[in-house]
Amino acid sequence: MEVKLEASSAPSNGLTRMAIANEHVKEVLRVSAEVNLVALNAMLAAHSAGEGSRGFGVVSSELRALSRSLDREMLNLVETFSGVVRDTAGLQKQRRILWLLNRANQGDQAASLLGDLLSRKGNELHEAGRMIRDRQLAVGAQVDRTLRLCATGHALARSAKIEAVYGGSMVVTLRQVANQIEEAVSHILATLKQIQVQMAG
Amino acid sequence: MKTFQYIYEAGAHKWGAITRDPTKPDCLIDTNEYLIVNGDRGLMTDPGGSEIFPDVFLALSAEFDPAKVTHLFASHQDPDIISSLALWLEFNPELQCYLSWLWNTFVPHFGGNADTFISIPDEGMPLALGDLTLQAVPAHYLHSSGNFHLYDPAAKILFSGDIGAALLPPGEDDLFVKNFDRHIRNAEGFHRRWMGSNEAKLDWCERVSKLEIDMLCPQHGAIYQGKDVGRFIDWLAALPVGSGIRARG
Repeated sequence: MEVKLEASSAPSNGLTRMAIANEHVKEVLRVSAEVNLVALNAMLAAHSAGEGSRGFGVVSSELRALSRSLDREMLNLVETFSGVVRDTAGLQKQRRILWLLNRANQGDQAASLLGDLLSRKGNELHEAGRMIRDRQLAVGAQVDRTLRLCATGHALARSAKIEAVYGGSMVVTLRQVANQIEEAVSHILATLKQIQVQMAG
Repeated sequence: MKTFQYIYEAGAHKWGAITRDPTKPDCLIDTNEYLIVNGDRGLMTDPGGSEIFPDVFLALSAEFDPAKVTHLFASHQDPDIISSLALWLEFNPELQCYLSWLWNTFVPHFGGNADTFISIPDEGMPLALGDLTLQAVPAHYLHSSGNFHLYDPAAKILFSGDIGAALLPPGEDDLFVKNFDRHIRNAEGFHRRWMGSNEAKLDWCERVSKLEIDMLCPQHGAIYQGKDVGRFIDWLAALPVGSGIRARG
């Protein structure tokens, strides 16, 4: 009897991909904290600029609200992704065990002794793979939500640039802040797309 | 899951400790894994057993890119030290492992090939991690016949493997030793039984007394700091070891 198995002697690149994606997740988390800081600076700058920059102040308030939402999404993403990394490492361990058992599965006698075990292990591996795929889908949904937030962030950054023009003596500062926001949001956007690439394999 | 925390930071040079998993089954001895970072390179000491690989990998990944771990350091050959080797190699086949020459043909039973291992001669050797030089310190027969510790002269930290180990009861599992007299009771039985040679023990005590050590980091239990390092060395020098010899049926 031959049991079809997902085990091989070749290194699985699943854990490598998840580790790379995890680095991107950490990067997004870092930049997301930066957005919060920049948004706070924007509010202070708008306050200093006085009456003419009221519009900029409104935009920066919106940005702060956005950065709080972004933080929430990031914390959820980190938590879900931790589960993906841990389960993928666990799957690698199971694959290794299965590969070793497979090597022992030579000849009729071994097949009769190991057949049930291999079949059970194979099923466990399929189940573990299914759970990881479910988690990956959850990560994908969270990434999509964060991408939508980033699109809003881009729109706000553009508005901030427009409003900066009315900043009087603070125009240069306000423009700098608006550019910083735009850069941070663009960076998050690009990094999230990298995560999508890694998740897609 | 296990937690990661940096215990030493000086710019790009860091030591991180991966410790304490409340969800770990009691049948597995608790272990500490240490990550030495120099810029974008990392070395892990005693990366642990295969059963805890997922937890160690996750804790590490939360703080450091595991792809940048280029080397492992195995103090000796035990399963709780290095049986996860095959899994680390699946993640990074280029990974290399420092290990006593004595175990060159034993540890490959856990995984790896001739290119995986960098043999450490009995007298020890310097280990490079980028522009940082670490030192493999002989600790033979404490408890393994081919046994090394790892000293970082810049950080003044000694990774001491099973020396300094303590089996901590619930509620007394702080990462750092808080009360030496209270803590050492949890270390005494372990050292009496696991360390087989008074001669080897005294040789080690003399050797490490000459080193500047701010932190002594064992593979089980809590980290000794400051004056507690010297207190521990004095305590060990005075402790009779090899209690298994006196066991009678």
